[in-house]
Amino acid sequence: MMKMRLVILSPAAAGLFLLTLLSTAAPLLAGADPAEVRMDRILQPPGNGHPLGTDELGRDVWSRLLYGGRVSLAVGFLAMALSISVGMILGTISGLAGGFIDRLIMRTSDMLLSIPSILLMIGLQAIAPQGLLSVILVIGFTGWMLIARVIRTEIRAIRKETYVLAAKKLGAGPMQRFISHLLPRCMPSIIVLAAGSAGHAILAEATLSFLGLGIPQTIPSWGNMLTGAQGYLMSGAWWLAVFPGLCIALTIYLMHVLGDRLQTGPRRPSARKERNPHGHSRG
Amino acid sequence: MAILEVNRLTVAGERGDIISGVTFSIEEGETAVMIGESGSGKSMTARAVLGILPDGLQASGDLRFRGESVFHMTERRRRTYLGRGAGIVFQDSSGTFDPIRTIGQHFTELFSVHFGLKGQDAKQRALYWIGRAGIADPARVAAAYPHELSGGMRQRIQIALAASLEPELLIADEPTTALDLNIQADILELLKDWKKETGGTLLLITHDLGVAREMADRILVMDNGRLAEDGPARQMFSAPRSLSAMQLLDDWRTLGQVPPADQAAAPPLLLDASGLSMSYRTGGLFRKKEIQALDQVSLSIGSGEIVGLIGESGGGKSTLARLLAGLESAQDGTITWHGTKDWPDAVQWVHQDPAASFNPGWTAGRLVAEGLEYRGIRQTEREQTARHLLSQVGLPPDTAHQYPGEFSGGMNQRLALARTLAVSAELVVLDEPFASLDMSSQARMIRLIRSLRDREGTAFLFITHDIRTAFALCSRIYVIRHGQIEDSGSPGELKASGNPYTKSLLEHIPGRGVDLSNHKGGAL
Amino acid sequence: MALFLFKRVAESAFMLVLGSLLCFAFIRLIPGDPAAAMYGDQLQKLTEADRLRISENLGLDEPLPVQYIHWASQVLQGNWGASYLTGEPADEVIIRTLLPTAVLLVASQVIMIGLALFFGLSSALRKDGLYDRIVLAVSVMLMAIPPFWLGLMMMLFFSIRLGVLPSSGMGAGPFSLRHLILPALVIALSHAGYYIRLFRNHFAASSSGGHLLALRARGVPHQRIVLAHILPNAAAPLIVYTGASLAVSLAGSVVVETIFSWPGLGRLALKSALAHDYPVLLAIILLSMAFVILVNLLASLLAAWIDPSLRESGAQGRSK
Repeated sequence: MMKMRLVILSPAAAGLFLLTLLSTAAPLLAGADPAEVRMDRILQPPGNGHPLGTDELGRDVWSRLLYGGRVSLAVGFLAMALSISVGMILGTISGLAGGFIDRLIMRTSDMLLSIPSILLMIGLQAIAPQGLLSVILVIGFTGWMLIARVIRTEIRAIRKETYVLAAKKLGAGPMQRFISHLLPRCMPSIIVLAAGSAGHAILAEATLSFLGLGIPQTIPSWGNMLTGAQGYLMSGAWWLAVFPGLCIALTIYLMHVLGDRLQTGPRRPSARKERNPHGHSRG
Repeated sequence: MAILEVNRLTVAGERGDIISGVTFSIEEGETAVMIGESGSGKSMTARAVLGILPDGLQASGDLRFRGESVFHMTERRRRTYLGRGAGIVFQDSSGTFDPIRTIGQHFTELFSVHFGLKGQDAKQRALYWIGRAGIADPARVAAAYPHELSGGMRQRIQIALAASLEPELLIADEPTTALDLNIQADILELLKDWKKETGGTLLLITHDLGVAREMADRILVMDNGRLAEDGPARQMFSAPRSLSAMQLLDDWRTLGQVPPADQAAAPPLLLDASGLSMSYRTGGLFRKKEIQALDQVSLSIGSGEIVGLIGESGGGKSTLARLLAGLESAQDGTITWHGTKDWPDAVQWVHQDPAASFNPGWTAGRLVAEGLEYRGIRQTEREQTARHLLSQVGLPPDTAHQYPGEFSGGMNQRLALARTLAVSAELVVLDEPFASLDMSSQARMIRLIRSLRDREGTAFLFITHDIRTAFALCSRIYVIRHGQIEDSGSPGELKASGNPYTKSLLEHIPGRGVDLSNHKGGAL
Repeated sequence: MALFLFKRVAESAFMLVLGSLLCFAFIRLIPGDPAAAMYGDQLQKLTEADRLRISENLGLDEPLPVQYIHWASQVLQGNWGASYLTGEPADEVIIRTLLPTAVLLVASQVIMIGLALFFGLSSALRKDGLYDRIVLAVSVMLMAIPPFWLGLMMMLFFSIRLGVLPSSGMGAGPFSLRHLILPALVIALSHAGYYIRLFRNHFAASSSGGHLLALRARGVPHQRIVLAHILPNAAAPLIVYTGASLAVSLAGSVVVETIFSWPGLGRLALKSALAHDYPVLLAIILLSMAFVILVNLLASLLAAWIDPSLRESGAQGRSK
C-alpha cells in the first residue's frame, strides 16, 4: 500500500489529474463556445483573443481543446474499463478452467491479435451505428486480448504456487483461495495493464476519429480536431495539427510513465529473493 | 610452496564488509576445506579469489596466485588465470550452463578459447573429458542439452569442464549440496580421483563437517566474514580452538547422535496405511509412459512418534508424503486414522521449500494464523495465538510484523512448523525439511522438532534423502526404493540390517569411517 | 520437434477457422441483405428472378453451418465477391495494392528492428546508466506519439518547412526512395519505442544468468560472451516478437498510407470501410489475418529451432 501512495504522489499522476481537472472545468476556462462558428475569423493564428488560434470554421481551438479533452478522456477511461473487465473475466475463466475452454479463449484472442487492430476496429465500426457509444464499445471490445493473456498466465502460475496448495491444506475453500490469494496477487498487474490500456484506448479513439470513423464531427474530441488539419497544413495553419496532437501525446506519455512506475516503483523485497538458502547474500 | 596466498582480504558491500581481513594460504597439492554456516562469507571468498564478485562489491587486500598479484593482472593474463590457473565448480548445476548449447559445445568453446583447438580435435577432447567424469556414453551426453541431464550428471560435467582446462587449483563451491547421498559420494570420489591423477590443489567449500572430514587435509573455518580457525584437519576435529569450530562440531555430533530407543510400550496407533499404490502417466501425445510411483506401500505412525522415510529422489517418497498429507488420494489401498477412514485435517504438511508455501504478500504473524483465518476466528484472537506460536518455535515476537521474504531458510522452517501447530495438527508431514539448510540449522531444527513432540505430543513423519539426519531424529525409519518399502526398523536395527540397499545408504554418509590418525596434514 | 511442429500447425489452423467464423458472422451482421453484401449495387439492376437465384446460390435458406461451409469453400477458391465501388472482383482490387504495401512494410520493419536491436542491446549493456535512462525516456516518448500525428509533423517539417521530401504518393517508376523515406520512417518510429524497450529488457535478462558468471570464471572473453551467449539466448524470444510486430506494422500502414496517399492495402482498407465496400474490406481482413498467423507460425518454429527448450513446452510455450 506504501507503493500505491508513492505512485499517486508521482508527477505523472499529478499531470493526469491536472489534465482531467482542466477538461472538467472546461466551461469555466474556455473563453468561447466551442461550437460557435464565426466565418469572419477563420484560420486565425494563435494570439489575438484566441490563445491557440481558430479553425477552418472560426471556432476557438483552445475552447475546443478543453471540451475535446472531456470526450477523449472519457472515451479512454470507459473503453479501458470495458477492456479490463472483459480481459479479467476471460483471463480468469481461461486460467481456472484449462482444457478446451482455455484453448478456445486463448486461440480466439491470438486470432484477434493477428488482425491488425485498426482493421478490426474499422471493420466493426463499418457495421456499427455511428456515435459515441459505439466508439467506446468497439475500442473496449478490441482491447481485451493482451489483458486476458496476462491475467490467465498469472492465474495459472499462482494457482500452481505452493502457498495456494498450502492454504487448501490449512482449510481454505475455493472462494477463500480466490479472494485471499489469487485476486490480490493479480491486482498489481491489473493496475499496470489498466494504465497501458487507457493510453491505448485514447490513441485508438484519436486514430479512428482522425480517419473519420470515430466520434461524429458535431462533438469535439482531440482526434477529430485533427481530421481536417492535414488539409490546412499546406496553407500554413500548423496550429490545427500541433495542439490536439500534443495533448494526445502528453496524455499517453503520462499513462506510460505511470504504468512504468506502478511496475517498477518502490516495492517490498520479494519472498522469492532467498529461494536458495546458500544463495550468497554472503557465504 | 604456497599456490594461493590471501592476505587481509576484505570485500566491502553497500551495507558494510562482507569479508573482513581474511588471511590464509593454500599449499601446492593439498586439499583445503573451507567450512562455515550459510552467510559466513565462504562463497564470496571464492569469488574474490577469481575476481568475479557481484556488481557493487569491492575487494581489497592482497591476493597472490603463485606469487603473482591477482588484482594487478592484465585482462589477457586474467583470462588464462581463470580456467587454466584456477578452475571452479559451482553449487547450482543447472544455472551454470547455457541452455541453448549442447554439453559438447560447452567443452569445445573452452578448448577454442584457451588452447585454440577447433573442429574434430576439440570434439575428441570433449568426449575424452566427458568419459573421464565417469559417464558411460560420452557421445550421447555431448549431444544433449543441459536441461536433459539429471542434477548429479550436470555436476559431473561441471567438474569435467573445470578439469579439462587442467587447472593448478580447483575451487569447488558446495559441489554436493542438495544431491542424494550416493550421488554426493560419487562426486566426492570424482574430486579425489582428479587430485590423485593430477596432483592438483583443491579448495573445497562446504557447510557439511562430514564432507570436510572425508576430504580435508586442512580446514579453514569461516564465521561472519572472518577466518575463525585455520589448521590441520585432525586438530580441528580433536582439539578445536575457536568457538565457531566447537559449535560446528557440536552441531555435527547432534546429527550423528542416535536418540535412545523408546522404552515405553508402543504408542497408540494414529495413522495406518496399507497397500497404497499410485501410478502416473507422463510423456506426450505419442509416447505415453506409465510410472509406478508407489507399489503396495504399508506403514503406520503412532501418536507422538517421529517416523522417518528415507529414499533417493524419484523413489516415491514425495508421492507418499502427498498421499499421507491428504493432498492427493491413492489409486489403491486404504489409510485409516485412529482406526476410522474419516480423513481429518489434523494432518498437516510442511513443504520442502517453506518460503514457497507462504503468500509473499502476508506478514509472518498473519501466516502463522492462516488456518485460523479460514476457520473464521476473530483477528484479535488470531494475533494472540500467532504471538504465542512464534515464541513456541523460537522466533522473536516482533517477527510477526515482518515478511518471510526477509527470513533465513531456518526461520522459514520454524514459521511453517508454527503454522501447523495453529490448527492443532496431530501429525505433521515434513517433506525434506533439511534439504536447503546448512548443518548448524539442521541441528537446531532437530532440537526444535524433538521439543515440540515432547511438549505438544505431535507426531512427525520426516521425509529425507539423508540417512544421517533420519538417524538423529527418528525412532522408527522406513526405507523406500522404486516405490516399495525396502527395509524398516529403529536406527539401531537398520545399522545392523542385512539389506544391501540400507547398507549402501549407510556407506555413503560423508566422513564416515575416515580414520583421522592416518590423515596427512599440510603439504604432500 | 515433430510433435512441436504438429502442435503449432494445428494451432494455427484452429485460429484460421476461428477467424473465418468471425468473418462469416461479420457478413451476417452487415446491415441489410447478405445478397446485397455479396453483389452490392448491381443487385438493384437485377430482376426478381435473378435475386432469387442468387439467394439460392448463396444458400440463404439453408441452415447456418451449411451456409458457412458453402461460403468458406468459395473463399478458398478465391471467390471473394465484387467490389461495390468498381464492380471488379475483390481479389483483383487487392492484388494491385500488395506490392506498394510490401515495399513499405519491408522498409519499415528493417528500420524498426534495426533501431530496436541497436538501442536495445547498447542500453542493456549499460543498464541503469545515464545512456540507458535517456534511451528509455526517448522510447516512452516515441510510444506516446500517435502515428498519424507523427506523420503530420514530419510532413510539416520535411515537406512543408524544408521542402526536401515529397509528402504524398509513390513517385514515378516502380520504386522511389525519396517517396518511401517518410512513410516508412513514420511506421518504424511509432513502434520503435515499444520494441526498443522490449529488446532491452530481453537483453538485460539474458545478460544476468548464472551461466554467464560461469563462462567468465572459466576465462571466456567478454566480447565472446556477448556475441556467442547473450545474443543467441535473446534471439529466440526476439524472433517471436518480431513476428508479432508484423500485425502492429500492418495496422500502422492503414493510417500512414492514408496520410501519405500511398497506394497500398491500408489505404484501400480505409477507403472500403468509409464507402461500405464490404467484400473488399472483408477480403483484406481475412488476408492480413492469414498472413500474420502464417508469419507468427514461422517465427515460432524458427525460435524453437534455435532454443530447444521451447520445443518441450510445446503449444503453451509462446511468450507474450
